[in-house]
Amino acid sequence: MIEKNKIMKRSARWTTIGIASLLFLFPLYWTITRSLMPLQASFRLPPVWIPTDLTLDAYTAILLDGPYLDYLFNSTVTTVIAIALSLVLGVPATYALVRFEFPYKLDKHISFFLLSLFMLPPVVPSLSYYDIFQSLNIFDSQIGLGLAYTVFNLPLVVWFTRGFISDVPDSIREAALIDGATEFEIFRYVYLPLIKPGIAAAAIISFILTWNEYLLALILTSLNAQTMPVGITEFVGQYTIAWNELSAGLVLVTLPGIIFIIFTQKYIISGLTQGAIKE
Amino acid sequence: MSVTRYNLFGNMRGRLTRNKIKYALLLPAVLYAAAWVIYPMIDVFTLSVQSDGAFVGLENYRQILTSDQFHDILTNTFVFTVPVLTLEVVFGIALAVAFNAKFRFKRFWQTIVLIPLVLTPFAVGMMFRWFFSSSLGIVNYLLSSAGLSTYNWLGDPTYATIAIIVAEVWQWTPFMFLMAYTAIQSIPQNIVEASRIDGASSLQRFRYIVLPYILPVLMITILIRLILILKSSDKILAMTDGGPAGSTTMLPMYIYEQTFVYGSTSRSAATSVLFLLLILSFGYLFMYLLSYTRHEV
Repeated sequence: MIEKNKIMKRSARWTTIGIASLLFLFPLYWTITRSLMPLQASFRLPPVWIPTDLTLDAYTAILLDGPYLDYLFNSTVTTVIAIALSLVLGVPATYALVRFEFPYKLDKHISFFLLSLFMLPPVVPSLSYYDIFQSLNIFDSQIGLGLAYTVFNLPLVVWFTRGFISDVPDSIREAALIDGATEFEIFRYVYLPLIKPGIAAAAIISFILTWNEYLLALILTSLNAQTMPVGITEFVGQYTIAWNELSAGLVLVTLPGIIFIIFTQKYIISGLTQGAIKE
Repeated sequence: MSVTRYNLFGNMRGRLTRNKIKYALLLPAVLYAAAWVIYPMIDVFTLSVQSDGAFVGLENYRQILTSDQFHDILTNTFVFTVPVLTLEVVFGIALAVAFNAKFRFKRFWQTIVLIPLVLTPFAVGMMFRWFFSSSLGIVNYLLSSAGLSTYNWLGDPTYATIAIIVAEVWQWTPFMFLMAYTAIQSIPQNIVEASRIDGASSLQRFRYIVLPYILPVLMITILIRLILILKSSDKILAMTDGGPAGSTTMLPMYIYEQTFVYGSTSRSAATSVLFLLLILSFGYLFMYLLSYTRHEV
């Protein structure tokens, strides 16, 4: 009876995981294989399930003949600016909020303000940003877009690092104070090394958000600073779609995220769950 | 003696600089965020009570709140959000329960299940637009191969709504799984053991131990998802562009269109303010739940 129960449980588990994996992997398999096919084969139905003559034509077409190398460059520069700035601003601020007391419950209110930025839909301030960017001459530039993304990354940096900061025992801080370290030295040489996993998690989530963002990039760029997600629309002509090139574009834009989840899963999971679950 | 003096010196220096350093660490982020948020908020609010530069009070709000289009968008949002959240909770918990055991290559399977989470939403929308295409899509191909009838998925209001629900659930079930799984993993083993000794069945254990334990985390996750669904709709934009006949238009898409396509900035500003009020009310509930569970756990 117990044995039968066990077998039933096991088959239920593997059915669930199996179906989920199949459903999650199929779109990726489809897109990757279509990107390696000639145009005619890429949209044929019945579909080519297992492609045999593979070609990199679609990739050379979009990267060398098309503007995709520029999009890749723009996305990379924008993302680096946004991550660097959100960490430089966000980590010290979170540290100050967790470790120090402020008058008038200021720490509570500021935490609340920074975290509530998460609720701000990018479309709401987009017209103001458009106007500001025009007058500051940073419209259609990687730096401008990076500056805007930083605002939307800040709440996640706070959310992802504060658990790690409060996990560091106070005794370590007190020991460093007794040794004559200044407050800044404690932050720089005691805390920063200890909360590296939290910073890594914050950096990765900032990367994913910034890299994948579409609407602000659409509004705040036109020709020079277009990012990858906006560039995808290039393949959708009015009458025809270059399906294999579209697939190659989709692979390129989604690839960094996939690489991140494979190699840095631990950080993403700890960061995502820390804020909500761990005390 | 010398040690004591050194201590005193260190503490004094710490006290003196502490007040300056804490503001030096905190203020840059706060000022930066405030500059990027407060000005646009004033801007949006000012626009929302104007029409062609003249002050009109709440007239824009009155027009929006009484317009059929606004009601349609709220209906679209509701019809999209409720099934999405329900399906994500059901599938997410099912996966979390399936993963809650020791088995081989767990990390590998877990990676697969998490992949959709990190993909570009707009790109996912393009993929699903292709899958649901009436003539070139794999969905219709599979349906007709199975002898079933095919549909003009993205050309019909009802089926387009189903298609965008499928795409959203596909991408975000992993998030619900991750949160539920982590919560299940944190259930103290002795409680589970005790129930096993008492002869509780798996179903009873799930109903009376697992579910109540993970409920706070589920509530928080649902609210995070609700905020995410409300605030961006890149995927829907890529799949249907709000159509057919506006049946999949959501608030961010409507505001974008009013502002940048039709240039009716006052109308879109008033909609923005209403949108913010909606999302903030959910957000405060979220913050409240967060502080509540923090005390409880």
